[in-house]
This record gives sequence, structure tokens and C-alpha cells, in this order.
Amino acid sequence: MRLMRPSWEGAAAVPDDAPSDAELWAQGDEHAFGELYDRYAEAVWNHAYRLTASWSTAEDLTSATFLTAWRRRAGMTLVRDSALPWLFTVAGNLARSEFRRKARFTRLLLRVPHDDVQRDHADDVASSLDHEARLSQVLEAVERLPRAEREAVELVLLGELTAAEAATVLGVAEVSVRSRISRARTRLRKMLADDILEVE
Amino acid sequence: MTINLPPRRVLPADVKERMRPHFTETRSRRNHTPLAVAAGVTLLIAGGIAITQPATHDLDPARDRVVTPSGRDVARCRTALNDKNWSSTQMVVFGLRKVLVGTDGRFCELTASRAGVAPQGFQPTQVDAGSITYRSANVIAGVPPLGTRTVKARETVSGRPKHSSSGVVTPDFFIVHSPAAMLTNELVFDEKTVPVQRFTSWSENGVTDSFESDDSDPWASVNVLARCVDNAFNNKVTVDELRGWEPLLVSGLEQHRGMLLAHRGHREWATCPFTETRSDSLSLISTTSRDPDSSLVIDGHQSGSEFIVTGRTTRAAKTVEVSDRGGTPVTVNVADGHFIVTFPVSIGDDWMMSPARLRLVARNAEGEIVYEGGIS
Repeated sequence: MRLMRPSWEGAAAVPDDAPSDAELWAQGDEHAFGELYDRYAEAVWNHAYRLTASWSTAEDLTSATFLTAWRRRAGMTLVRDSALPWLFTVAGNLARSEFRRKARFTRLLLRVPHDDVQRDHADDVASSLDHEARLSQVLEAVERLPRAEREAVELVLLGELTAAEAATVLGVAEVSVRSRISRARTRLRKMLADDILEVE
Repeated sequence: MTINLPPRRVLPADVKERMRPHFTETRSRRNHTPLAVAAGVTLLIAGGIAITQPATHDLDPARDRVVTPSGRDVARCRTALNDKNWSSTQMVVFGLRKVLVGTDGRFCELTASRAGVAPQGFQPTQVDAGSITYRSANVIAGVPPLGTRTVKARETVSGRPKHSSSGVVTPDFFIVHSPAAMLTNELVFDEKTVPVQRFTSWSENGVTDSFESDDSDPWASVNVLARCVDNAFNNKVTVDELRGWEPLLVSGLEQHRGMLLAHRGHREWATCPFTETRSDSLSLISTTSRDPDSSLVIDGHQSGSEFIVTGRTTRAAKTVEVSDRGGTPVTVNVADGHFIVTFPVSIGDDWMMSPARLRLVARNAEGEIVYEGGIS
């Protein structure tokens, strides 16, 4: 039986004898980068969806994230030997710039009634649309947050990284991330309806 | 309080492959039957006629053009950038021009005698979703919009394409080279056209003397030759005509004003006049005489109060005494039958019109006269 390293949420499991992210990044060639893509494509794709509320935009954003990561590989920050948190920050930056308009447009389309969608025949479709509608509202609220809080929310609340991991890739103290999240929660609570939030 | 997030999905294999950056595909693509090959087989069966299987290029052609720079190339760029830590592992060669891509994204353009980098204060220009981070008279380079597969520089006049030149694009960078005569005013990324300003010139602080030779003296004969070669390349002389030249004779190096004679394999010769401020283009000597040992003037060039004559005599000669109208002879060395001699010019002289007034006495290594007479 091959030992498997504990994997990140949404990332492909990696055999223990496989090269680490740091080793792959150090190789710096297309083959090594292809391995990283195989490891993290799914996690980045899911995160991209949470940043855009659109699966089609998430595809474009994921592809762009890996291309941008390749270009900026010299500035990569590993967190617990993982490139994933840094990939999340790249996706977040792209989502706020190039993909923001497209994502907004896509979300706007979601508000338009879908005549061709047969809700009665597919519960999963209805569920999906419901998720997208809820997520759209969340993202619109997140966009209104101050930048520092927005970045922290994208990594911790949407990306489900720990505050420590987010702090490492953002280059700030963990306590700063925690306080940003705390302030962001307060603002979001005022902006969003209760059914979108889960009170712990 | 947490946000009620949608559950994560399993990434479908087809979506994963659709999103995969194309530069990571090399390995997997090779396992597939190229579409063009499959189409060729289908045609053969359906039509019942013999066809040639179409060739497909599985690898990105841009990859083939990206090579590794030499240590000397990197060292020249470090000097030009004044950054001893600058590094580069990728270079694209356009004829005699090399463009190195730094690991930090900065570009460095090298010719035989010059190095060009973005001058201090140069601001990148946004073009579509990419940017231009380096520009010279012949090169535009920068970061392409995401997913770009082809790039082209184009000159249009009144909206109509006049010239175009294809470049190299990778996920990291694009570089497009255009001939000196082309005034690029558009870049074309895939099918998308982006207008760019015509290049005028930038301050010279981005361009410095930098030589391929190990000699850093700009007045070393090999470096004078490098300038002549660069100028010829800019004047549309082909790369094949410009490779492999070596200095043979030179006159006036100390004064930084004179004539260089170069050879290629001792079978072809070329001249190039130079001054303190500029060099001419390397000019191939075209000999029409049927007698390779005939004495003739090849080139004449007035430089200030001197007239420099490049001539040819018998290949057996090692020295030649050249005299003008019975004046004191000037003795110079002969190499491959060629020589360069300098005469003072008097006001009113019309040297170009009367080379026939020169008299030659050519001697071999033993000092024996091997030719004595005029020159045509």
C-alpha cells in the first residue's frame, strides 16, 4: 500500500514518494508544472467557482490562474509545502481584475428567468441554481468589503484556508487575518440575509 | 457565523483537460493520434485514392525557437542592466539579433556590438490583457494576453497592411522582431489586433556598447568589425552573407578613423570605413577581373585630410610600396593580396578620378619584387 500525504481540501491526494510542491516548483519546467496542475486543478476550480458564482467563468479563471502562476512562479510562497494557498491568492487577484466584469455579467444573467430550464424535472439543477443565486449575493457583499478584509474572506471563508495559512500568503500576521475576518463577518451579517449565513 | 457555501464538486476529466494550460500538454499530446492524421486515413478509405499523409507538428513551434543563452550572452546583459544577479535561461535568436528573457521578466537585446535594455524610467504599455515591457527599433517584447498562441507585428498605412512579421510567444513572454524599415503600429495576438505607437527612439541610456568578443576595447579590430556587421544587418544584408567574417587588415585604429578589411575563409573579402562617431556597413568586395592577381583599387574613402585606398595586387606579395605621382612611397603590408594605404589629401585634389596615378612595387617574403607597375 502506498502511503499518501495528507492532502488539502479539494486537492488530489499525493503519494508520499512523489516530489513535494517545492521540489516541483524548483524544477521550474513544464512537466513539473503539469504535475502541480494535476494536483490542484480541482481545488482551484472549486475555489474559482466560489469567487465567481459561475462554473463557466470558473473554468476560464482556473486556466488563467495556472498560466499566471507559471509566469509569476519566481514570487511563489509555499505554505506547509503546498502551493495551493498561493494559487488561491493568484485566483483571487485575477477574479478581482480581469474576471470581475465577466463574473458580474454572468451573475446578472442568473437573475434573468431561465425559460429553458425545466426545474421540475431536475432537482439538482434547481439546487445548483439556488447555490449560484446565494453565492452571487455573497460575492456582491464581499466585493463591497475593504480590500484587506475581502482578501482574508476569500481565502478563509470562501477558500477554507486557516487564518495561519492565509496570513502566510498575504504576508501579514495571523492576528491581523483574524481581526479582518471578524470585522468582515460583522459587515457581512448586516449585508446578507440570514438564510445565506449559517450562525455557529 | 459562516457562509453557506455550495459543496465542492469533483472535477470532470474533460473539464480538467479543457482548462489545462497548453504548455503543460506536451507529454500527453504525444499519445494521441493527431487529428490531421486521422482525417487523412478517413479520406483514403472513403475516396479510394492514394494521398500523402499530412504532416502535423505536435510541438509548439515557439518552443523550438527558444534556446539557452551562453554565459557570455548573460554576462553582457548583466553589464548592460548593471545587475550582476540578473539571470536568463531563455533566448530567441532573430538572425544576428538575440533577445534574452530574464527570470525576472526583463528583456535584453544583443547584437554583435550592442546591448539594449529598457532604459530607466521606461513604463510598460498595456496592450489588451498583456503588456509591452521592452521596445527598440527592431524588437517589441513583453507579456502576452493569457492564452495567446501567435503574435505578429504589423505596419499598416491608411488601415491597409503593408508589412508584417511573426514573433515568438510562450505563456511567459512574447518577442516580435521586425526589419529596420518596418514601422510597426499594430500587434496582432492570435486574431486580435492591438494598436501600438510607432517607435521613434528612446534615450540612449538603454543602449550600450557590448561585444561578442572577449575584448572590451571598442577600437579593437574585431569590435570595429562587429559594428560594421550590425550596420550591414540593419541595411538588409542577409545573415548568411554576414556570418564568419574576421578582420584581415585595418588602418587608422589609433585615430579612430580609417578602413577595415575583413575576410571569410580567405576566399571572400569585404571593406568597412569607420570614424570616431560611426561605422559604415560591411561591404562585400565584388571582383569582376578575370585575373585574381591583377592590381586594382577596390575602395577609396576620404576621411578628413586623408584618403584611404584599399587595393589588391598579387597574392605572392607580402609588402607593397605605393607612391602617388612620384612622391615618397608608403610601404604597407599585404594580406591575401590586399592592402590599405593612406595618403594626405591636398585641397583641390580629386583622388577618386585618378587612381591610375598610383605606382606599386610589390615584394614577396624574401624581398623580391613580384609586381611593379600601375594600378587600374
